[in-house]
Amino acid sequence: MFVRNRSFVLAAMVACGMALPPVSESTAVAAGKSAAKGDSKGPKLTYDDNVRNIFREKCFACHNTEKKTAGLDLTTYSGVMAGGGSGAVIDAGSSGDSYLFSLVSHTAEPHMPPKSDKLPADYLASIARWIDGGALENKGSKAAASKKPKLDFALKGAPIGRPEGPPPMPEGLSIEPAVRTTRGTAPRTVATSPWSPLVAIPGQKQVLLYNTKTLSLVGVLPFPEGVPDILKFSRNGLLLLAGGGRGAASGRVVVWNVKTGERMFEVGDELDAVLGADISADQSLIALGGPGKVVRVYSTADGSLKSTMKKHTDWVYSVAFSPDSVLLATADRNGGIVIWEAQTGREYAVLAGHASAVTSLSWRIDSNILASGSEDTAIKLWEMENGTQVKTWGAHAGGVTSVNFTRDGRLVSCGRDGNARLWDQNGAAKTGYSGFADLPLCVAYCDETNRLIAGDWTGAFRVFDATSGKQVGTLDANPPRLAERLDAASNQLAQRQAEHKKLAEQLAATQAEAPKHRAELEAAQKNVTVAAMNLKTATAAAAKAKSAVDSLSAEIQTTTKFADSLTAVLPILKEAADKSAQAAAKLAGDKDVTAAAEQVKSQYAKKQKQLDDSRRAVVEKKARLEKAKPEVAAAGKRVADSKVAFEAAVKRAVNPVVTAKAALDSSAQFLAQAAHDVRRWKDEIAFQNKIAALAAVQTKEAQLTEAVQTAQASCDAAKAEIAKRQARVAGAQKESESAAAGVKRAQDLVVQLMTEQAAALRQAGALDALLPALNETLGKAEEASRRVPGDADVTTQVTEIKSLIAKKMTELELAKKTAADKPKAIEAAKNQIPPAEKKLADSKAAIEAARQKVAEAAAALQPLADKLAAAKAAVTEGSKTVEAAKKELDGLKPNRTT
Amino acid sequence: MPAITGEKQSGEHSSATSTETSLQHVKPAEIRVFPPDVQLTTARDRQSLIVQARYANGLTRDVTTEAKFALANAALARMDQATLYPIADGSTQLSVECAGLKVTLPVTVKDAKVNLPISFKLDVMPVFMKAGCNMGSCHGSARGRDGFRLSLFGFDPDGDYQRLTREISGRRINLAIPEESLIIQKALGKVPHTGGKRFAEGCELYQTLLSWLKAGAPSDPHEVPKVVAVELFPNGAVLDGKGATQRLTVRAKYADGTDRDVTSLAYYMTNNDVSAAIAQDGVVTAGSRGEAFIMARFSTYTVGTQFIVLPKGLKFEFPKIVENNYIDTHVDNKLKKLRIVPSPLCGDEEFIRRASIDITGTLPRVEDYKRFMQDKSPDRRARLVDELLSRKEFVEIWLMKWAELLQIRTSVNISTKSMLSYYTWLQNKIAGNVPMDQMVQELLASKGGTFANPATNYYQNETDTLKTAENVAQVFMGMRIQCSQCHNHPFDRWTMDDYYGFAAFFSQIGRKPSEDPRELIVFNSGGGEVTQPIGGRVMKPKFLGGAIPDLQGRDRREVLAKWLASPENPYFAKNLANIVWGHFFGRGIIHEVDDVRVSNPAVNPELLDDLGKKFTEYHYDFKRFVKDICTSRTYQSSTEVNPTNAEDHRNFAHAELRRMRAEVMLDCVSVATDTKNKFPGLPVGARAVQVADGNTSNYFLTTFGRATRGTACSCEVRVEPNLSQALHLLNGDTVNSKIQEGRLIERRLAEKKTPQEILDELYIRCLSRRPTEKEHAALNALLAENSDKKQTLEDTFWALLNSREFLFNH
Repeated sequence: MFVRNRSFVLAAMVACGMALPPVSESTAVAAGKSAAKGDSKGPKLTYDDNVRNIFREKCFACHNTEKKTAGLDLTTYSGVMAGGGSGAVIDAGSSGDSYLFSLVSHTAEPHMPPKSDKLPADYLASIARWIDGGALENKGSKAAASKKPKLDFALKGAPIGRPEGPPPMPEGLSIEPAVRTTRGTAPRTVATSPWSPLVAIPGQKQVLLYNTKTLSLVGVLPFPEGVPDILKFSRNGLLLLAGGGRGAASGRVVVWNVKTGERMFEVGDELDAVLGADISADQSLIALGGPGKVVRVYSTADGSLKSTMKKHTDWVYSVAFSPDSVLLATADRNGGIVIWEAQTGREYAVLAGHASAVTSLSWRIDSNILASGSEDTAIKLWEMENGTQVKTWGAHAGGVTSVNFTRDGRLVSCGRDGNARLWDQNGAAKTGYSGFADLPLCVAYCDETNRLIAGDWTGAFRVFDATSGKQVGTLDANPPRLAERLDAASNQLAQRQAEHKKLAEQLAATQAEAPKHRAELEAAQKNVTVAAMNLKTATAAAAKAKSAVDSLSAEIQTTTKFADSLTAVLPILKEAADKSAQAAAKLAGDKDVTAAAEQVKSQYAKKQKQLDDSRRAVVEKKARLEKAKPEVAAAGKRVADSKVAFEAAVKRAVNPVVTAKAALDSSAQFLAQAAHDVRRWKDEIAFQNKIAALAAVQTKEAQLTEAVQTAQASCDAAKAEIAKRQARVAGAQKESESAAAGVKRAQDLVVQLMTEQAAALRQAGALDALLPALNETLGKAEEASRRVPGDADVTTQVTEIKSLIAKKMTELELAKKTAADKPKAIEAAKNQIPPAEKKLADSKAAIEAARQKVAEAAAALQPLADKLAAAKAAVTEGSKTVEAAKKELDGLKPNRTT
Repeated sequence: MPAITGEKQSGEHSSATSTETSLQHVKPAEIRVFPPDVQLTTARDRQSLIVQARYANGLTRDVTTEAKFALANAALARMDQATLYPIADGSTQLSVECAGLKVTLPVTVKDAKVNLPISFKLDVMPVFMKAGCNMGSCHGSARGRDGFRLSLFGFDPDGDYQRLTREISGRRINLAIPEESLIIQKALGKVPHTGGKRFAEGCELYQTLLSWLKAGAPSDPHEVPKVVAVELFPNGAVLDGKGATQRLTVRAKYADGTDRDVTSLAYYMTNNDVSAAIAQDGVVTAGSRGEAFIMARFSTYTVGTQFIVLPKGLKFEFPKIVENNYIDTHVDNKLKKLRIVPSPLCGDEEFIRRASIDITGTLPRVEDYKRFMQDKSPDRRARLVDELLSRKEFVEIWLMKWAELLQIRTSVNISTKSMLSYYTWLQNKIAGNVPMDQMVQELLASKGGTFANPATNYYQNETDTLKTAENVAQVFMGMRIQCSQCHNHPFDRWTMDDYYGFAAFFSQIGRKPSEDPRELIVFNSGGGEVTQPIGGRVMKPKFLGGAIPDLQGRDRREVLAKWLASPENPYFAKNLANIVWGHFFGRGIIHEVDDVRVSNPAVNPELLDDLGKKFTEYHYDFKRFVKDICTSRTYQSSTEVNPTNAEDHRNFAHAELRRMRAEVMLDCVSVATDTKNKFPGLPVGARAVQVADGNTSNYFLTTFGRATRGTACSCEVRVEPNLSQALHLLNGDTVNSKIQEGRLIERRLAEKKTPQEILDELYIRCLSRRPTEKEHAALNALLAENSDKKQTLEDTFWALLNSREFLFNH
């Protein structure tokens, strides 16, 4: 479902009779007449508003679209009315005849829900009322309201590079936890923002946002739907998605704006927790799956279900859109991975290979490689051209619990061997991260800070430096409430203050005693000088002795080397000398030979002597060296001794005042820190209060807006009523006119009738008078005829006269009759006059009454108009309050020392 | 199964009021308090007590609510609604007084101030059993249910811990908000759960689970003491009339010497819901007359006790009956308890037919019949039994039965030569009256070639280690332990450790080919182990229900054989005795005879015990043992029933009609018609019971359910009548052809026998009796009106052979 705007929700509440504002009485009366019957039983219940939730809680587990136990699907109205394998289950208008009701009310077998207690009495009452009220689907207006595009959240194109602007970070989110428990529990997910130093970790009924650089809590997003089983940032880092819910009861996906903490979408109405979910990079689609084995894709534009994929044979564990929004990868507990076309929901590839549950899926940023981690211990990489496996390696003995690509194409993972690891794409482990208290379950890498965040079974989150593998900190998935923090900080402050006070007293005491100890201190300082001198002398002596030894050693080395070279030369010289001596002996007397021999000999003797000298020198120097060595050792010892003496002297010569001062200074620093903490938490609480206050005034404002709408509606209704009544006056007038006309018509008729009567009487009189004359004429004519028999003219005349008399007789008859008839007609016409007159009088009264009513309605309008005006004024005031609260909040933001 | 509500059944005693009015004015003969002693260890411990009154007429009544409890030192423990709770350490006495009778029992309190943390194995695992979570139809099934699996009845607590806490971490349990853990929500029925609501919020099971979760769902830091025994109290009850109730109390004993009241944690079952229903809070409610075995399961143990329900205020007197031997004593004792009068003795004609068929597998000959009927001595039946036992047919019957148990048959692996030598080996043992223990020991420890030492055929027939172990347990101990291959036996005491420990005896059988390809050489390889699949431990050979023997340098099978066929093995002699008993009564004292388990108890344990003892005493001498059975009054009772025993088919109160088994029937038809059969590999005239090979059969034998010996199961032999059998007898080529083939009528007519004489003979041949007056009259009329005497007599013969009186042993 789409997020309903708040006023809509309020409207619904008002419609349901909650806090209905007083409406002018006449309107209420008018409206109440038609609704009187319904009111006595309360509003009619509908499937959408009332019954579905009951079915959802108690029946959907078996009677849903997928499972359809006994052929019955209660998740839709049409399904309910279609009935199940045994026929219709609802007899609209009669709960007693409805099969469904007889089963849930335990009046017929099999009792439903099976093996459970009967539904609570109020549930049963609601179902009965719903059926008895005609088993309505909804309130008519609601169907039209839904599925209207609200906002186009889709991004044009799906950028994978760094988005423009500063990295999205929470701005002014509350850090007051929604839930605080005594102990943590196993987290199933952790997510890092692709472009910000931000990590989201799941808490109980909340999501916690931490800054990965400072490791401080920067926001809490309440998730009252349950425990988040999956967290994902959108590709641009602007949105955070959480999927989860209550196991075996309900599942849903929520998307927040990371900066403002505003809920953007809520989709899904699963019958079990959502275990895997993702939002496409273009933000147009949200996919989710869970124990229902079905993957559903929703449109973010209007919250409508775009596709339903039924292919997995076991629980869906992981769902991931490719970064280019083209493909959707889903994985299940049985080791199956399926790739779909994201937009159409058509199957693209099936990746077979994992022997056990696939716990995690992650795309490389270029959308070409998908990584999957499985309980079968392997991480596998798949390419998307043909959907083939390109790499697999055993990553964690016992099973991989989580795997994620980093932005630069490396992978981080953790598993049941108790470790987290960083890998290159060839499956070579780069760095290991260990020290978890229990199984590591989820891992994420922060590209911005080169840090790795992993959560373990106990609920502890550790932050590691990704390169060194050293733990740099922890994140608390169960952070303390602000009040607790403030208490702790206050305690800390008090303790620090006490310590500080003690240190200050110590300093004072030391300073007070300073003169008393001055002489001692001076002596001690003198000792230090002496000791320093001694140390210096000793060090110099030691250096001298050492250098002497060193030079002796060098000399010995040189001399030895020289001796060695002579030793090599001497035998040759000796041989030359011997040979030249022999030659000289043979050629005795040869002067040149003798001289040469002599020279050679002397040369030999000289070298011999040199050798002897240097050997002697070596021996002598070695003796000296031997003598010097202990001296060096002794000098070294003296140095060490004097160093000890010096340090002891220094220690003794320390001024206690200085020490005390230093301690006090450092304490002051701590104190400042503690005070700062206290201030910080106070600020935070103030901020939190302001947020709450803002929310309250916003609610108030919404209520006021609602009131305006209601007042406006009442006003409009009253105006309409006036118009209606004015129309009624006009009608009455028209009626009156027609009544007057009726009276006149009746009177005219009487007059006319009487005139006619008179005329008829007159005519009859004339005829009466004429007839004797005619008879006389006839008699005469007959006489003539008798007298002139056969005269044609006379005969003709007689005949003519006869016919004339007959004619006149007839006329007379007629006139007489007419005259005789008229009094009756006149009487009748006269009788018509009083009713017409009465009608006229009535309509006149009606006009008066209608006019009166118009006047009443007009009078009623006034208070409504006043109320509207007041409400409008209140809204303006409320908006101002909201503005003020916002400003106040914004004013506090810079104060927060996070 | 019903959900456990955790609430006490309301008004549980109101229904029993009528019982109390009748019995409560009678002074009981004694009162018994259970358990007989109380040990309270640690602060959470407690012990519920029940008091049962026993009356002189054998009835019992639950008088717990009427009894007065008094502690000698009230500072040590506190009594609340017949349950003791610890206060301080020490020992004292609890005296229980009811209806003027008094019983005292010792009470010890230890570590009264110690509150042990919740243990997963000791405290949480029983919750899953009691709430029914780990039953075979729910999460205990091999693949679990709705995605969650627990081990069947909790045989693998470590695995269960792992699955519950870490298989899908973060789903099933929530340590942050334990109350919202899925496992709790599901069990409470707060979210849809296929299994429905299992328990109520706040009940003991809920509290246990919740406090474990609150403690962080810890696993047990070290080994916890194992349950070593479970006791169910009271030991039997005889309830007076519909609506009477009896509470139970169940106590588990642990390896560290402590015990625990698990009355609220045990899972209760009854094998007869109509007579004695049991609620999950441990209260039995009497229904209609009958007996029931009430069982309680806790940990891997199932224990049971017998409940008898009698009509209210039943008047009953057991008749004076001569008891022939110990068998009758035990049977009658049971019948007295049940208030059943046994049927009288059967007639001599019935007896000679019954005994002949049972002992020798054949009908009595005409001359035997006549001689026996003329014998008027009082011990004629015993002498008949002796005579029948001395015949070679007796040996053949038991040879056939053993051949079935040892599955003697040819197969792909076993040549005819092997099979025959195996059969001959068995024949020598049985005919030579070699004591059973000796024979079984020789068989199980056999080594060498299957030709040279034919007993080794046993290991050629079945080469799978586990199956061999299963067969040995089933045949020689009467137990089907197959279940415990994959999980602890659901209805018995056997755990997987027991199973694999027993199988380990057969893990070192070496097999190698000999020069003759048909021969296999079985030897002791001295190597090879069996591992338990859970945890992969190598199992030390352990006697089933016995000790772990010292096997240093010894052949495992020899050690097993020695133990198995010895009085040390409590099952061996009883199992054989039961098999023999089953043969003579058509129903074992434990039925089926190879389905011994806790939940299928002996209907008369004292009888079975004594039979086993005697069999051992007789040094497994079949003849002596069978004589005991056949001379007992019980065996000789009539099939005629009286109102008290008409409905009973379990306690041997009357003889049952039993269809003859296939081989015996064929032999009897042949004997009656004076014809011969030919079976492959046997001379003409050989009897069906002599067929050595399980694979040899004919249409008749197959139709009447001859065992193929493919498995060691007693269900291989089928004696249920069916339509094809009836049709085969009516129209098939056995009966009619044999009448024609034997030409008996023709010959008798040729011998100038009168039709009356021939009729008499036919009756004696087929039914071991002369025709009745009525039959005589009817048949004579038929003979008189039909000139073809032969035809009429043959028709009569055919009719007799098709009669139920012929087909059934009665």
